[in-house]
Amino acid sequence: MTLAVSSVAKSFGDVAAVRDVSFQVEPGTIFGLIGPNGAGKTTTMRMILRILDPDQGRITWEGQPVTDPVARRFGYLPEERGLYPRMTVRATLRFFANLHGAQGPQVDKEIGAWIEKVALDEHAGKKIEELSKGNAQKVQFVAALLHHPPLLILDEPFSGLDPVNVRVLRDALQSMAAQGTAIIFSSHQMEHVEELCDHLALIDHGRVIAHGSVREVRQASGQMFVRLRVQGREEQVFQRFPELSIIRRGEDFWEARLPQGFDARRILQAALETGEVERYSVEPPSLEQVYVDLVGQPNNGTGPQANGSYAGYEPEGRQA
Amino acid sequence: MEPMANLRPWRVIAKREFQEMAGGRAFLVTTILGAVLIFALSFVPALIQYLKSIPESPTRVVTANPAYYQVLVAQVKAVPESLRPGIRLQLDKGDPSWDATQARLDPLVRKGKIKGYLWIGRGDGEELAFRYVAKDPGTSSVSFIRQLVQPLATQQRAARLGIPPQALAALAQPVSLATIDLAAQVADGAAAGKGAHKPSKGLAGTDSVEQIATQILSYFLLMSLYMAILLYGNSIAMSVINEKTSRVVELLVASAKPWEILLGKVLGVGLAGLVQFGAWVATGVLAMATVPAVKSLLPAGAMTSAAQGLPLSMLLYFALFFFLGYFMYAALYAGFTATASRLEEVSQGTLPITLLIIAGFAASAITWGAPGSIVGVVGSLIPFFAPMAMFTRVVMGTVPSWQIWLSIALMVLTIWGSLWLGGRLYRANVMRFRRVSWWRALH
Repeated sequence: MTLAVSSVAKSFGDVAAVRDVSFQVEPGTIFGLIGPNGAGKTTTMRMILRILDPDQGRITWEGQPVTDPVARRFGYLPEERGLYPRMTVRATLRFFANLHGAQGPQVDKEIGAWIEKVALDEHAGKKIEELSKGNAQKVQFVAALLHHPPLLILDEPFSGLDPVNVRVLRDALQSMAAQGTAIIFSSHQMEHVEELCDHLALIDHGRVIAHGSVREVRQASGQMFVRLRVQGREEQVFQRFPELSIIRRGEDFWEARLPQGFDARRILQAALETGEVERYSVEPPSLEQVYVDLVGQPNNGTGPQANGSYAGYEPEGRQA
Repeated sequence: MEPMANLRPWRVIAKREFQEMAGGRAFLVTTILGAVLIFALSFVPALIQYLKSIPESPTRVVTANPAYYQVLVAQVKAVPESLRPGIRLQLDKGDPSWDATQARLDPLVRKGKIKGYLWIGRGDGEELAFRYVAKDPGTSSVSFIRQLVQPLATQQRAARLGIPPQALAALAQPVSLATIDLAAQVADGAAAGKGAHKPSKGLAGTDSVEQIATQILSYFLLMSLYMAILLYGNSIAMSVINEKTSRVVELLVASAKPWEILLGKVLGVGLAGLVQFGAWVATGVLAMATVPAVKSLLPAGAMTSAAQGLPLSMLLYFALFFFLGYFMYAALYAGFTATASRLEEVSQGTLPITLLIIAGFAASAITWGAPGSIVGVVGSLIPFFAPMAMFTRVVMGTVPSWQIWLSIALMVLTIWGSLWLGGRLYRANVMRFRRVSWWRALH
């Protein structure tokens, strides 16, 4: 039950959305797709679901090319949120379960269980148009996984959710994975990726520019960063090491990039001489740092193929 | 794994579309209001009849020869009541000279005491002169008066030419033209030469009640198909276009083939429309059958004899052509709308279909006059016109069965083609990767 994406490419007219993307997702694992807007994440997902046919490369499930009946069993939460506004929560969930080929009393029972699990009990009889955006998003999330998909594909599942709902969804994802579901999700929030993913791929301009486990990706550059908190007197410590570039000056801690071959214990020594050391750690770069280093500007929202040309969806004005 | 048969995506989508349209309160209200309106409208002919029955102010006939008046009265009686433009004749007893008549009757006409008067007197030479004086004489009453006095003039001219009245009556006899439909007899096979034998198809040579009943059926098909398509074609177009704004479409495209999405919509919305339409037709039929005022308009027993006179095969053809025509146009609406991405583009996109329906209406009008003509035969094979024109031909006369089957096959092919092609367009346009035209989708 492995999904294998091998060297797929897809162009829309002159615009190359995906140039060369390969990765594998094993059952029971969570795979993160990260990258700037327009990097090709959504196009890759659509190719896995057979909404689009790749121009090159192949996508296999259990070693066989993905066919329509197989793709129909996959669960999908598109970035483009949308439900029928006049249907009730229950009817919506039943419709999507049927659409994916699941029906019967068992499905109704599971709908009830999921409604409880994601705290939608008091809204179950309401119409979608009466729900808040976050609740509608939870309905759509449940709709994607009701039929026990072997593979669940989630495009930005956490965007627009409050922390409580993020936690609800995160727990649901982890329990799905524990039951053997293979999960792919994309996100711009690196803390979610670091927390949830077993493996990840960073895509930019339609190519995978980093992949592996979270740890592997973080360590790939070989760089190290020091994090320090000395009763608010971090600046005094770092002043003694002008060769360090400080990348974060937070209330909670400061962070600096260590040059190759720099002995970090010198910083600890200096810190101990300055005051009480509340925090000291030497780590590979955070995922966010890796992302920024590899992709460029943070929140690089306008890649060359961003929105407009081929996936002209407006993120604003989404229908709840 | 293969999904269960009743969970084919198009069925799931069709069920949802049906519930969405037929389950809403607006649908129920519209259906009930429409039925009430139809019931009320069914009283309109009775109302017109009632208004006609109110005695009109009389039209005086001024003549020195009372025999002329008798001829006119006989003429009026010969015209069916429903076709008379409210004219009631009355013999004037006063001085028949033109000047005296004018002086005496013109004020009465102006005051509305009488509707008008018809003066019959001597004109130039031997000819009779007719003058009709009225306030606002409508064209229908003028032509009715002209129709009334024509025999008087003819009789008088005949008398002058020395033609006796019997000879005149003989001259006026209508020609009898015996019509023998060989096509009907050929289709009937063994019964060659026996006109009374019923042909297996068509109604040539059958008795008149049956003929009238089926002609009404043909007209009924035309009207109801026309109305149903115009009423619900747009609902289907809306449903197709709304999918783009509801943004569920990406999920649908992930789980169903594009033609399945369109098929689901055509069936779901189309059936919901038929339910409403059926309720309205049933209301109309019920009104005709039960409301005394409406029932009295029809000759006694017309409903039952029409129902008995209709061969079952005609009813089956009716159902077949109605459903094929309805769903073919529904599929066309869905297919054409697949290229539109906004609501405003819908009416543009569906304009060609509306034109097709009107053309089909015209084609069947031609077929009515000449079922076997080249226009009729060709028109009834073109799928867009077939439901109307072919059914008209089936009703009017004998149609070779290969032509019927060919037209049905072509209609089914058209349904399939517009769903398939529309589906390809839908998928491409719905995802808005690029605009894809009908032409490009073919390649």
